[in-house]
Amino acid sequence: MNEQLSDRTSIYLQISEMIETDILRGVLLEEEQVPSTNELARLYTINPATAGKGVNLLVDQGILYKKRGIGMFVAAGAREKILRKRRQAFVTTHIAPLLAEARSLGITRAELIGMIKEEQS
Amino acid sequence: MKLTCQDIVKTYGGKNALDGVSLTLESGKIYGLIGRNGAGKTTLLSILTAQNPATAGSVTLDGAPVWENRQALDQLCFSRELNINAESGLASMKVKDYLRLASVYYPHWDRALEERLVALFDLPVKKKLQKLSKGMLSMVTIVVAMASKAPFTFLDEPVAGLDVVAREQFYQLLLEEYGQSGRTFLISTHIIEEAAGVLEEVIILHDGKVLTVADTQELVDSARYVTGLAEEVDAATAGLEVHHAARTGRSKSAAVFLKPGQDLAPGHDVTVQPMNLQKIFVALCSGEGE
Amino acid sequence: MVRGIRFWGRYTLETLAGGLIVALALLVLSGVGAGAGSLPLILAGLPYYMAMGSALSILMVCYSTHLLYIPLVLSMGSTRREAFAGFLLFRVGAVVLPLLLSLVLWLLLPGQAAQVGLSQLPAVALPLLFAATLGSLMGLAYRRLKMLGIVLIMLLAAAVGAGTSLVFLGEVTADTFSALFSAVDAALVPSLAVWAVLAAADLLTLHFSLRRREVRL
Repeated sequence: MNEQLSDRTSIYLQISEMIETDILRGVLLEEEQVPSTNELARLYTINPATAGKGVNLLVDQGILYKKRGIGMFVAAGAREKILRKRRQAFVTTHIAPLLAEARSLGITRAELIGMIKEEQS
Repeated sequence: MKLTCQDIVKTYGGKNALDGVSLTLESGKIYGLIGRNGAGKTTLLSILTAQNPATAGSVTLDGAPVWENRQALDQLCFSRELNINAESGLASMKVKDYLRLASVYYPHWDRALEERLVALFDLPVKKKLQKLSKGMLSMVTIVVAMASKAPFTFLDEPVAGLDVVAREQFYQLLLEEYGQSGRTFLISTHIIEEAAGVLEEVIILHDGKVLTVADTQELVDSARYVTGLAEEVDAATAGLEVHHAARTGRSKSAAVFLKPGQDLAPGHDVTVQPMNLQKIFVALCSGEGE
Repeated sequence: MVRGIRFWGRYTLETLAGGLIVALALLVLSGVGAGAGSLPLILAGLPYYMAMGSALSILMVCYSTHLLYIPLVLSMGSTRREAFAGFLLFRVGAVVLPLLLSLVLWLLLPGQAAQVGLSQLPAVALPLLFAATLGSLMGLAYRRLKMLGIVLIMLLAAAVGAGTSLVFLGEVTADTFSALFSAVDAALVPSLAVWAVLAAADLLTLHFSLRRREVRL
């Protein structure tokens, strides 16, 4: 939460990502209430409908759930779900771009693996 | 409630300020109206609120004509940009008298909100309108718009003359009021990118015609800024809606709008970047390089 | 309708107040000019001064109605019908109130002058009626031809200036007014006829002008 929005991707996606990151970081705990769409809208100076779209995306994925008349809450097992989702996306979001950039720079697989080993130690 | 205008034409001295504008404004949304100076924004707002008669076309609220219709007009508020100079009739009117008049004429007027906002903006209520700075005049129009509590509220350049902090305050106020009441707001503004996030739908007016009406985020998501070698850019964008193409030597740039299901032709060495609303507006309305 | 009454009612009272202030000023000036005459005699002149003062006040307000009040209420969601009716209501009130005050004053004051005054009430009404109509016509003229409106205002200001100086110099007293109004009295019917024609022209022009009027603040 409280990160800045950028141009790089749809605003509602950024909202749902930010909520996910907060869940991973322990800023939002399971069974805790998430800020309402109006509160999110005011926080980021965006339209509540956009904030709502981001929240609904997480509801559809089972990461948040709605308590009628009260608001949105973090679902049990949300952390696990997010970790699994991000691990699956890791290939597309990080590995594929890495390989593409390496290719355009002429870095071989062996060189790449060497670089990774060095960076991790 | 729906406010609809159909085929609005407005002619001034032989020239069409508005040339066949048709729109439907639905309840409970924040709309943005953007367009270049002279595109017809203020004219359109004046006609939608029956303050000026259209040369042709109709404006209806839930099917009933708005013109001379007290019930319909009670649901509308047009807080227009105040440009007060020495000759203006309003010049020697005091702020508090202007607000008192508004409180008499707007049937849903919220006194408590008026007082809260006057205090928040530190408005010099005893001063004459002529003596106010541009920023202060904008705040007066904002107070009237908010306190009117009208189901359809129109603001013409509400942030003109406001510094960036005051502008942020305005957007916060707008979201707070919208969140509480679900009123419909239509904001016309030149400060596009700042307001973009707040606008659920955006109406782009160009040369008296509606260029596009779209969900803001969908419009932004559908735009791509493509750059690279001219031949590559052309190949990647073949068959797509291209605007504002420009060439510099061997390189070319173009703004592309993808329809649902469309995408750039794959396998071409081009840089693809997103475009924000302001850049989209410039690409569509600058009238160059099309 | 209520909001119309609240808006225009306030300006009716302000116009009346304006007229009274001018009247009292003229009264004081004429008292100075004529030397100390008997109080009832001086007071009996008040309605005449009030008529002139109110006429001036009404004229100014009707003139600025077109520049300010009508665009203002239209910008706040008034219908044109409402604006027309409100303006009419204002003018009726602005004419009737000073007349009522004059009536009461002349009924209460003793002496010959008051009696004469009573009989001249219709004549006193005339400047008020003309002011209400001419003010509006001048405002409409200004909207069409700015220059014309400005010229008319300047002529008016000159006339007022001249009149005030005459009162101050003692050339003009309550007697003069009385005589003036007697002359008007004699020409009452033709004068009313002229006014009626002007009033009809004003109302018609106003009605058609309002229908297509754009709000320019």
